[in-house]
Amino acid sequence: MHDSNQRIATAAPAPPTTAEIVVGVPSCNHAGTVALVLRTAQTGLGEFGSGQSSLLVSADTQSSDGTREQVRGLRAENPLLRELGPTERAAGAASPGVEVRELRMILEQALQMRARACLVLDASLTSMAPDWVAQLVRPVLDEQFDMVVPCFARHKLDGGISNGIVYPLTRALYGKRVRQALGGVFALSSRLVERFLARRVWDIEVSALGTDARAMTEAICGEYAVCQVFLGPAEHAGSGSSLDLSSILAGVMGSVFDEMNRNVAFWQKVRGSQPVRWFGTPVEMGGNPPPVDAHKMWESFRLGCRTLQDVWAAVLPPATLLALKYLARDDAAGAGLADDLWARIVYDFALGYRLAVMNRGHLLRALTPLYLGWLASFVHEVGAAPAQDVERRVQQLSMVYEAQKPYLISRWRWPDRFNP
Amino acid sequence: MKRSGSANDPLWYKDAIIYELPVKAFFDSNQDGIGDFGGLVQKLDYLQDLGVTCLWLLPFFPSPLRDDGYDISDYCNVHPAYGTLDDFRAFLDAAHGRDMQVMIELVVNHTSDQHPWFQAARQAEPGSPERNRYVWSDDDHKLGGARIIFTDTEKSNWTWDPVAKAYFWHRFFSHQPDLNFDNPDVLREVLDAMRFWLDQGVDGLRLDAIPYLVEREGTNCENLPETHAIIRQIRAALDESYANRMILAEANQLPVDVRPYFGEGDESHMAFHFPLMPRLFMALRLEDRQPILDIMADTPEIPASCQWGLFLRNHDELTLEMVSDRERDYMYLAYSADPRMRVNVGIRRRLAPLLDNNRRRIELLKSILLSFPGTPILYYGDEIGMGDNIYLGDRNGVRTPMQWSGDRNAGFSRALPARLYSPVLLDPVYGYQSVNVEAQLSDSSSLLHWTRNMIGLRKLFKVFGRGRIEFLRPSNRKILAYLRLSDKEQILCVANLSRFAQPVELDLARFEGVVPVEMLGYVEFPPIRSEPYRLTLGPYGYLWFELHAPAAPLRDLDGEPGEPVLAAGSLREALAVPARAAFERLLSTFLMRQRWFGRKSRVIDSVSVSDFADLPDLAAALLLLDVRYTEGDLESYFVPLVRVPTDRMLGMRDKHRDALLATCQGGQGAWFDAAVDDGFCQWLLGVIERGDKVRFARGTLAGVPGRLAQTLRGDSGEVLPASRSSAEQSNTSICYGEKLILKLFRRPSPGPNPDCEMVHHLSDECSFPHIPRFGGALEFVDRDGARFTLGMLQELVANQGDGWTWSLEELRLYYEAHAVEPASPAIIEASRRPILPLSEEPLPEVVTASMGLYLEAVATLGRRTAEMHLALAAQSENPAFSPQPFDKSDLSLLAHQFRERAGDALDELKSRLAALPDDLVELVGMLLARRRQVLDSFRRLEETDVALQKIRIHGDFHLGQVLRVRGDFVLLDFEGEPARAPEERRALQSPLKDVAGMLRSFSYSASAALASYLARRPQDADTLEPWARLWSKFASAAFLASYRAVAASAAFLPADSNTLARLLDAFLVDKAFYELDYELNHRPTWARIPLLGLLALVREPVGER
Repeated sequence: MHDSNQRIATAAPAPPTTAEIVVGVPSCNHAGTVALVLRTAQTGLGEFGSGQSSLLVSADTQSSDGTREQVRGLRAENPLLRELGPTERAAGAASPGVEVRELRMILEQALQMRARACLVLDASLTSMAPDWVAQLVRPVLDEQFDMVVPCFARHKLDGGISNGIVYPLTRALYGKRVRQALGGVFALSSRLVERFLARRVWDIEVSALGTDARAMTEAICGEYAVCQVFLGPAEHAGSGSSLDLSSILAGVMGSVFDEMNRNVAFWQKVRGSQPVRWFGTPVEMGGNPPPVDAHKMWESFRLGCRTLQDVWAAVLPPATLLALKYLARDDAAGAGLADDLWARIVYDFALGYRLAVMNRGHLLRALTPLYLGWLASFVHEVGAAPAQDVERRVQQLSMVYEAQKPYLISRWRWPDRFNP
Repeated sequence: MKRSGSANDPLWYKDAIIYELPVKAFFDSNQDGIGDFGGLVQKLDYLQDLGVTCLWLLPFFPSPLRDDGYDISDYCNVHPAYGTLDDFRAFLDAAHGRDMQVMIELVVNHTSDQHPWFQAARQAEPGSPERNRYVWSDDDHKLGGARIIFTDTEKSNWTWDPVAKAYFWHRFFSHQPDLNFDNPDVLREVLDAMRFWLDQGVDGLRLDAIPYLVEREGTNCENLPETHAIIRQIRAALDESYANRMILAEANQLPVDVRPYFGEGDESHMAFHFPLMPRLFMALRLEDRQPILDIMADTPEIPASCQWGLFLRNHDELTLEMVSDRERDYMYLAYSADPRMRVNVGIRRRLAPLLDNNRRRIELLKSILLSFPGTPILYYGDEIGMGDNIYLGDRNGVRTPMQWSGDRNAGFSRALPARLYSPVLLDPVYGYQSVNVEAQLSDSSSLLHWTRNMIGLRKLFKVFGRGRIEFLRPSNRKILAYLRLSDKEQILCVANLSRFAQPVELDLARFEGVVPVEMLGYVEFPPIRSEPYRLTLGPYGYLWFELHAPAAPLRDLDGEPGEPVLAAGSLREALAVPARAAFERLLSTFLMRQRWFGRKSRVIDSVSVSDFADLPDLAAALLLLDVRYTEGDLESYFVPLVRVPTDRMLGMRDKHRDALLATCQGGQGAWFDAAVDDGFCQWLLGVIERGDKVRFARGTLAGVPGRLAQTLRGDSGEVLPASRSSAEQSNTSICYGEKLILKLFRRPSPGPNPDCEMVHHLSDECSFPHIPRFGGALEFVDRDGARFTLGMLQELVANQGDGWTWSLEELRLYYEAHAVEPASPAIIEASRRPILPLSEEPLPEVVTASMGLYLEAVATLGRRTAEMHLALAAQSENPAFSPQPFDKSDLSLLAHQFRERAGDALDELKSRLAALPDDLVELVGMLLARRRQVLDSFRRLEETDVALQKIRIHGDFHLGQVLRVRGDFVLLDFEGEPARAPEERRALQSPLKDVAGMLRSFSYSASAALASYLARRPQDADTLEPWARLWSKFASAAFLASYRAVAASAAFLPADSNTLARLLDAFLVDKAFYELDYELNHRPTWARIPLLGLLALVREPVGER
């Protein structure tokens, strides 16, 4: 454990030794938004009800942008706000990333405080409303769920990576229909917190974007009860500005594929999928959706077909390459990528990632044109349809992922290059 | 607080894949020609990618290296050639960082003679603490009961030390003095050494040579209680301060002797399963699963926290210490053609050369290794199929440098080749330029990739490491089939041990409805049905299946088009006048679909319910049917029915389509044969066990529990799950767990059922142990008082197949062995001698050499047969079993009967001559020409005067009526010859009828196996026919000799050989005519066998001298 290395800033009143709810924010280098998120959480805890003791925690390992000062400023308003960090790394131990270390501090704090629920928030989540705290924590306290994840409101074509890959893939793999598996926010029960710490879940290397994927798969593979909560839209400070699509896709898919590799003994035995319980009601998105240029995406796909053949050939079997070649002859995404073709492409990339047939970063980036081809097809097909029909289409795609799962398992178990 | 090892799970070793490697042979990082820890660290990624989870390092401690490091001179350091203690720690961290555990050696039985302890001991005064660290003696005759292990190099376990002026004790080399564990200081030092390495972080310790720790006069100095006490102290010290660590015991003993090394979970966590390994190789070469099944049957249960360590090859020779002399001789011939391949009591070869570098054979054995219960241990280099060098001394030929690439020194070292600790392999087949890691990594079809994939597959399923095993016993013994079962996972493994494709039918009825999914390619196979599951495996093929529950059917709840519908909801409605005719018509079509209905070729005129019992609480009914055929004759059938509600109906219909009688109108479910309903089967068992009575409309069914009913089911009171056996044809068999089997007699006839009556008598009255013991019966008495046996409950005997199949397999091997060896004049002569004199002489050496094991088994069968007859000859209060005199009048009657039957058979043959196949005509002609001789042969019976006994006998005794059960036999199926009338089957007779039946069966099996062999290789006919005769004669002689020895003084056995010969001859001829009749009517192509048999019998009576 790392308690001995943990420096806790002391406050004037005697610090509480227990709390029913611990709300933690991994804060490193979020000077612009951390105060907003902590204040909103504090308000949310205040609104939560008088009977619940709580603790608000900021975990910060190595901020250099003034985050720590922001948090200390807040402590004048809330003496029970606790600041954790930084830590000394144990000699010889693997070095986890900032996000992981901060998350682990929060979990250790929750364990130490014997909290019944631990809510982890995203320090960049500027759209957060105070009532989200109660919505996320109540299923743990009142309904004995072990993990609560959000389902943020979105415009119908938003969340392409989630719709086209992450949701159908994780549903087919783990057998649970968790609509937004990687929301960056989640609430945990005490027993799940204990499991995470006891199994040293965070000692194993995890990417910056991978903490929620790790938490989710650990919960499902450990057969803990997971549920979902409808929340309003998620807006993140700085989103869309610093990272290009390829980097986001590579980051997300890397974390999903890492979890796949770790949990292979579990997902290979899962057949079909089951719905996961919902709380709350879906929130309607206001305003107009941002415009989507399907033609441009399709052109990116065609360009990829011309330039990335060699890379794809290391991952995709000849029949898939041939299908892509014929598709790329079309000027527009009319015919589109068939669902089964797309599911097999994602599965083949998962396998290529596992076998490290090339540099994994390069491999994941090579998925971008294919994803754009799928997205163009998807937009072409449902762009004009109502939101419910778009959702129905995503569910249909997910069923195809499930139907194609034997293809994934067979290739995974016997990754022979000599295949159709 | 205990110091935990690197694994999270205390039982990590159960799921581990262990990789054994000598540091010196793996990779050299400092170019001195010797592998080292720096090199090992560089290769950890390779090992991680291979999928191994635990590294077992051979000794790396300071040592003179006269026994490859097992001669340790400093327990707490690293041999400088391999690096430093810091290098070891860096390696340990790096391995743990890759989630790999590390096991090292704890060699505590002995040290090197260079160890400071020994040097001090030899200088010290006798009786001093220093001296007492080792075992000394003034003479070399003490402890004479201990065998010498290294027979090639050591002549005694004592060696004279000129400095100490005394002999010191050593179980291995004379430079490895044994430590004296009677001295408490020794154990303390050993524990200190253990703690030193556990404190470094090692996860496992292999305790070397563990059976020999303590010596006691008057014993063999192995496995002594004092030794176990030492191991318990070592384990206690480990448990006291450390968590998630493991001890692996090296005890090269039979499983039953290894079992104590687990203690009650308080000695070793793991122990090697040494005897399995040579038997895997033996089974492969013999193409026969039996050696594997035998050793697994002899493997006891071990505590839940313990685990077997399994391996194919390791750093030592393929040890043959734990096999019989005959098996060892076979293994030497099969696997070490060159004497240089042998060392001590074993074969010093690697896996690939042992298997002639055959990829399929390598894969097959590895697939068994990875799927058997235990933790697999791979030897370095076997993942790429490395070879060996038999020209290097001792066992160094299997310890050559790892072959990493085609570069200099196999990529193992950049040193000058002359500096290498051992030459690399250079030969064209196994040399490093052909076999190396780099090449195989780039070839996705390589053995390396295959091994990696299989390891990955094994790791997906915990059941392999933690589940239990159940062997299936298909009739084809070339197929090894087993289930790996746990609460969560069910896996079926099937392996073909033969070099040719093989068919197999597996009894998987208990998994009816389950879908097997082939695990390597995730391919769904057809669902399992109640009938045998058929598979075909290619040469040395293997299949692993996950058994998946069937997907929920999505169909609606009504019956499918074309399925029969019954308007009536209850049985009483069905039997009421308006519905009854329709119900009985349904029964008629239902009967024609049943496997147990044996009259499908005949036309049913009508079916009527003669009696019934309505069981509304069970929603079931018991029916007795009268089935009348168009020819006018009548038979009774017993049909239990159950009404299954709609919600279970679809699943039941999918699993047991033929058992469906009809769906009920209006969504009231469907009627099925109740034998497929688990609830009904449990009720039926209860009726027998409780002795319940069930009232029919006109009669009563009674359960009759046997004396041993409670013993057979066990005391636990557990519900024994019911399953249907697919083996039976004319009856229906329901298995209860692995303990009981209930035969439902579908076509009961009035009077006692001979099978039930005999089993009941032998089991409960005679306590005869070599039958499936009697558990009870279902007896029906009709209103006229006539008795019918509807069912018999018996012990379910785990067996290795019936005697017929076993004999055919033995014969196949025998013919294959002799096809290239023309029989010598001595053999031809021996094969022509009559049986009776042969049985009175010692077996010739040529016979024991070629048939030895079979003859031993046959002698056992003869003994069991005699014992059965002796049991049946005991006086009984039951008149049906009370022996009666058998005298001249009986012989006259027999002679008359036999002559009549033979005459009828010959007449029949003559009348059918024109219609017989061409190849039979000549034989039939020869037999007809000897009509007079045949019929006259019975006259000799009438000329014989005897005062013997007649008793109840088996009546239809042949190899198909006995089961092989762990080297012994169980006798079964006492129904008698089906073609005889019931009263004849129950009559008291001479037991020589059974003896003759079995003698005919030996001859029959030899001929049948020869015909099967010659169908493939007709050119071997002339060579093999004398061998076939030899087999038949000497199997018969061995059986007869053993039978006569046991029954020598019995009143049913003629004391003089002439009388015995006359009786046997007559019974043999009669039996052969019975066989001929059967074959002509059922399998005309087989008629050649009894025809040849008859001609031989006429020509060569058994007793002629």
